[in-house]
Amino acid sequence: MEECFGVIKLTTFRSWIVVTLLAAFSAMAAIACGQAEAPTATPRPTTPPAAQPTATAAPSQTQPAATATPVPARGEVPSPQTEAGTIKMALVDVPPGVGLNRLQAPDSFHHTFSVAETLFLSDYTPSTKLIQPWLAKSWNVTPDLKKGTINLQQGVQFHKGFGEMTAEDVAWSVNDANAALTPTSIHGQAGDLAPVVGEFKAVDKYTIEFNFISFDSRWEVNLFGNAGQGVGVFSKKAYEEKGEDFSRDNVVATGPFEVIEWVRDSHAVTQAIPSHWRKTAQIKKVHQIEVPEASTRVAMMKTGEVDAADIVPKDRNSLLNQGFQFGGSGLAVQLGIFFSGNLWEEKHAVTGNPVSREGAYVHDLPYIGKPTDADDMEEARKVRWSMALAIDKEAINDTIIDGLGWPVHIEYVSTRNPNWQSKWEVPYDVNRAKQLLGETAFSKGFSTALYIGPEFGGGASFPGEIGDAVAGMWGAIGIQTEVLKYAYAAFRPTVVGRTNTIPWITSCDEGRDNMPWDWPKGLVMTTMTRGGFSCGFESPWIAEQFKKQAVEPDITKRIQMTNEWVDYMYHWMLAPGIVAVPAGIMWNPKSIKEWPMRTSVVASFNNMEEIVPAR
Amino acid sequence: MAVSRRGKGKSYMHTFLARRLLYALLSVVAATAIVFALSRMAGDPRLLYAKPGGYGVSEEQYEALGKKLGLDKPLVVQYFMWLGRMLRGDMGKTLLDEKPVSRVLQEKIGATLQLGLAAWLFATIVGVPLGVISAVRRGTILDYMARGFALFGQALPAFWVGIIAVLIFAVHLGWFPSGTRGTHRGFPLAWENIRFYILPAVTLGWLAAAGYLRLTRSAMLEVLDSEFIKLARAKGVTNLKVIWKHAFRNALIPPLTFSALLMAGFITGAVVVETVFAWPGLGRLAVEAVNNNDFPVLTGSVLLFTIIFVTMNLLADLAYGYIDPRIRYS
Repeated sequence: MEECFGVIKLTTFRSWIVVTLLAAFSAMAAIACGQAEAPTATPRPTTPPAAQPTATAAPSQTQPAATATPVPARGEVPSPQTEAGTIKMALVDVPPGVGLNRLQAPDSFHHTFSVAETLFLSDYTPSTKLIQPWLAKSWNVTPDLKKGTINLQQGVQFHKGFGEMTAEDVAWSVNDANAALTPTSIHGQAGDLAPVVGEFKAVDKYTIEFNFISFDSRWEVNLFGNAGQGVGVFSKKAYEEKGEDFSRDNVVATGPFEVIEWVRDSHAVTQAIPSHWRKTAQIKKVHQIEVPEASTRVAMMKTGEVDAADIVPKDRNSLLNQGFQFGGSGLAVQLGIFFSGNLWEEKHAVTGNPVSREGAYVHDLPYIGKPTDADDMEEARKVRWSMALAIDKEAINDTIIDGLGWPVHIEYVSTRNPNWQSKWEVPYDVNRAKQLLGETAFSKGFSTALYIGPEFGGGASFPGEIGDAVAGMWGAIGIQTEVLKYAYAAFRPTVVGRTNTIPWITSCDEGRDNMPWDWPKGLVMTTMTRGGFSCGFESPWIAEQFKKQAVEPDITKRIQMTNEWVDYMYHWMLAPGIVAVPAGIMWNPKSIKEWPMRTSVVASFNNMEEIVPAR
Repeated sequence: MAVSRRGKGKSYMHTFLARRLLYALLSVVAATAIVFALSRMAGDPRLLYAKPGGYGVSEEQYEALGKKLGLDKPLVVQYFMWLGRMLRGDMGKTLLDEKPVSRVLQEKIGATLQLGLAAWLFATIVGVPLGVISAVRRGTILDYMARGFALFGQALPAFWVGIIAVLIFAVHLGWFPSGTRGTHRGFPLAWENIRFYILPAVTLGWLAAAGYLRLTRSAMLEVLDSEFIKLARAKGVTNLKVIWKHAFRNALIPPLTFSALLMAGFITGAVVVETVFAWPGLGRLAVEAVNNNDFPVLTGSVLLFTIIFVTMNLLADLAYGYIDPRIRYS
């Protein structure tokens, strides 16, 4: 009995220590978690969605930028710890920054950070045109669509005292990016420029002429506009006088902000130009710091350490409830399933040479159709339809995106666009999915894999959860799915090399909800990008449609062509959508009073020169 | 006779040193070969240049890029060319922005060293004394508390500790910043600068402090149980002197050698803490290099990690050999 008591005593004493420590840690965790997700009785505010054009009429077929909707403060927004006149931003990534177009990095300078400028400004408001002058004052294209002339603004000054921007600077900047003229160019648009425009030549100080190799109706916005994937203008004088190393390290552009410091994967500091030719910013400095962990960005917002931050959807509503504001450029990224391996083109769409398709048809994969076998094509189509019907898009939006997004039925086109037709909807219908699968040789189901693409941080972030959800839903119709979440750098070569045969979740470059309806679609679904990125499938019909639509000057006809494209994609179900996730940035209203943004299909936020500080 | 023994001892030490240096060199060469081979197994880096939206890379462009990157030569030749450049201090240029890799590494190593040193200090200052106290007060509440500290330190993952620490001490209590290195203005040891180090250093150093504690505790218990300690006590030496002068000095060997490897581990393995606290160090650079398939950065940073680890390992071996004659004579 004594022994027993002794044991009890010792055990009790040790247990007391352990229990106390456990209780302490649990309490700490509970305090922390409770603080982070304190429930409120107030209704959840709706995220400001991208406003919709009310009229279906041209000129624009895109949606305008979302502006911040004032949300009544229900909690206490912290007082900023940053200096007045300075904006500190916590971003997922601070990309490499260089002042040379032949390298990969300079895009963010004009898309996002207002350091560089492009020839054209692309913005949509009901009262303005889609394309407006920016560094270009006026421009024209000959009626035969063979030659273009651009007249530049005068008096635009480069940063760091490198003088006035001239046609020489613009021509050098564009030619430096163009792969046809600078073979070592790895600019994002190196390969886009090459087949569309020839060499840019300075005719006089402010005039440029160039020839179209193959006219593309999107040329102003997509190649030379701020909202597309345009080319920024940098100083030729700085490059010639100071050399390549200097231009790589020192960004000499014309935007309302100049770069003071830029350290890759760490931070960047930009400073407002005192008397800018176009718009002098009201804020003096912007600090961008890379904060890869989503919880840390939320913490920094809640403590007032930063004035603005990238916030993942699951955290947005709690911050909106607290009184923070959210805004964006109207960009919403469409995540969908792309059925790689359907390589249906036998010949290259441009050169006419036979293309290799080794690997795609080694195994009889249920969702890959052999173009030479009509029955197999039909069976694979049914399987893809079955997989599309099994996805509960609303549930994914409600649970994983916290209701902030909206369903996407067919990738690349938005249900919010006035041209959208209800006949293209892909409902959630498990019974129909099972029935369709039952009509194929895979009625008992099959096993597959699903790779999570790089958008929003890829498999490590909420797209990974979407992948898990899709796998679970496919499980309900008998399809066992292994979700793959490894680094994109390891996956990417398989879609560049056209060897991937598993479906993957991505936006595949152009899955942007506000992409203009009339733009030709599906370039990366064709052999035209062989040697480069693709969605992993290729269709001769899409290639032909793209080529026709790219040179079609009439917007009404282009809209009709897109409708035909959606009909095709609906029928073959090569890229069913899942959900559109609005991108943007969240800010502290005590730091930023207003932040109007321009429409963009690339940047989630922009227009930093228009920020109205609250202090 | 005594001189001769010293000479023999010196000779043993030289052999020991030479052997360790050779091992270190071989380790570095082997590591570089493995890293180089692995970096090329991740796929042709030229495919990375074909960015989304592009019409693709032409064959001419593909070949030109290959020549520029030296990919047109056999892998073995590429390796030796790379090794030769490394020996000359030329680590190549990054793929993304074509900046010298050595400069990119230089930009990051300061942050990593600072964080590593802070975590090392925390681990040493907390772990070693707690280990001594835990051994001396064996079976008391202090011992249990110290062991509880060690248990949690070893059981809790750093990412969880980091996030919870941010929520409690930054968001809830507002004592420390949530992340970043701060601005480093004014006196380096001023509170304004030091406070940025507290949470990351504790998060990174907790596990190591637990290791220190356990090592010191077991070494102290062993020494405290030895005959010379009993003799010292019998001779009336004070308890404080017995513990800190006689016992602690003899129990110091395992934690001392552990500390060198610990520092190397802090420098090379702080990825999670760097990510949670937005600390722009080498670990994150290496992870980004993997994500971007930026193999010059990856090979450069792994080479640096290897050199740091091998050097620290060598120092630990030498210190061990110097302190404990049994090692150098074995």
